[in-house]
Amino acid sequence: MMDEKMLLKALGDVDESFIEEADPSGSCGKSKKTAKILCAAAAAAVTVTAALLLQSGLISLGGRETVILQNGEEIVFSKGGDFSSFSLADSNVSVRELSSEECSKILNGLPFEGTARFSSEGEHEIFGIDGKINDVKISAWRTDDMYMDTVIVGSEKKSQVDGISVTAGYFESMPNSRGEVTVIYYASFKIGETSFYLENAGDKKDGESIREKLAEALSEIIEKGEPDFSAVKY
Amino acid sequence: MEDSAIVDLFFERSQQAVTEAADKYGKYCHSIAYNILGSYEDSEECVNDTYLKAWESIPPNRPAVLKTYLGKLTRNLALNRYEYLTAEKRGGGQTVLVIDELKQVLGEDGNPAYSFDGEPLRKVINDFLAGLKTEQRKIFMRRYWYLSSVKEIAREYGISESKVKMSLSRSRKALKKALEKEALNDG
Repeated sequence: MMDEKMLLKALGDVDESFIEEADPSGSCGKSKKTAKILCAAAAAAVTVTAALLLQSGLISLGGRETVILQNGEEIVFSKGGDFSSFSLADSNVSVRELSSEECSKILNGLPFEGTARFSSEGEHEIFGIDGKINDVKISAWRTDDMYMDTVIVGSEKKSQVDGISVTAGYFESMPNSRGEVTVIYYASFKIGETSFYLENAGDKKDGESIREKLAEALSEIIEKGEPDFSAVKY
Repeated sequence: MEDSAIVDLFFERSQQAVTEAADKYGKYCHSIAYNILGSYEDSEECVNDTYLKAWESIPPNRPAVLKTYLGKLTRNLALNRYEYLTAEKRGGGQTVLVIDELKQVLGEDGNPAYSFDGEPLRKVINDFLAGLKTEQRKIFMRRYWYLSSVKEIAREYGISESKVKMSLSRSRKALKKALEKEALNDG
């Protein structure tokens, strides 16, 4: 006898063309609010003792949390209802680990570790960089050739940090089997011709520290200014 | 890296195969698992299991479309995990809602007339899908293959949630008819 769980499993074995046809990553809906970002590559975390730049003033009203920076400016994180990322085609991209010297140059001396993405054809032009500063995932890019399409659903709040418009938000996962909730904070902004996406995630009970680390990295990047991609050659 | 090159790495028993597959399709698999399980950590574990299953099954299998191959592995693993978690009265995601909707196809306690499975059932479902209009089929697949929420589907296609529900209801009725017809032929 067939029951609904068996039917649900049987539906999983349909023709692959139907699966591809409905693939969420292949259908950028017209009504979606999307932010295109580069995929943050895995990189070893660096432990750096940095002076605490921030004084945290936690305000949690109506799904918004705020970090107040030392200069008095604030970053407001709005809670989102959904978060999903999809890989886009990346067959024309080569990725290379950056040396510590290159890392230091490209983000103007910040403790960055990561990789750079280059066109695998022609002049091997650099597309962008992916890595981490103090556990905070960083992606920065200059072109429209993206490898990820992150769909952000929910209200977003723009903040101003040193004259840079920052869009920030956060998401909470459902509790896992141990009752743990993961919180993901993100921020995106643009300095000159370079777009940035920052993300920091962890156990919700450490949310305040996770949020502050992201704000700290963001503050440092903005203070240092636009990255120097010319410091890296293929 | 091209899919065929990644599959070749699996055949060469190179662990780089898993790294490349994860880099290219990790997020895709994670979104499938998350829709079913509704938990970031459980989905991560499920996607890791997907790579293990891929490692165990390639070779001998040589998937024509690596993305959907991994997607199917993820979906099956996530549904198995969902069953385990719900047995423990835990778990979440869209699965409980989707199962409830599929009861309308089969009846509250399943349907004893539907004794067919395997290839005959696969053919019925494929024929049923082929007979749907493209948008209706996409909506059906988003709900019952990817287990996307109605809200998400509505947003994706720029239509109202009620229109999505209406489309799904019509599709379920059509599937029910297709299954009834096959049951008659089978009987």
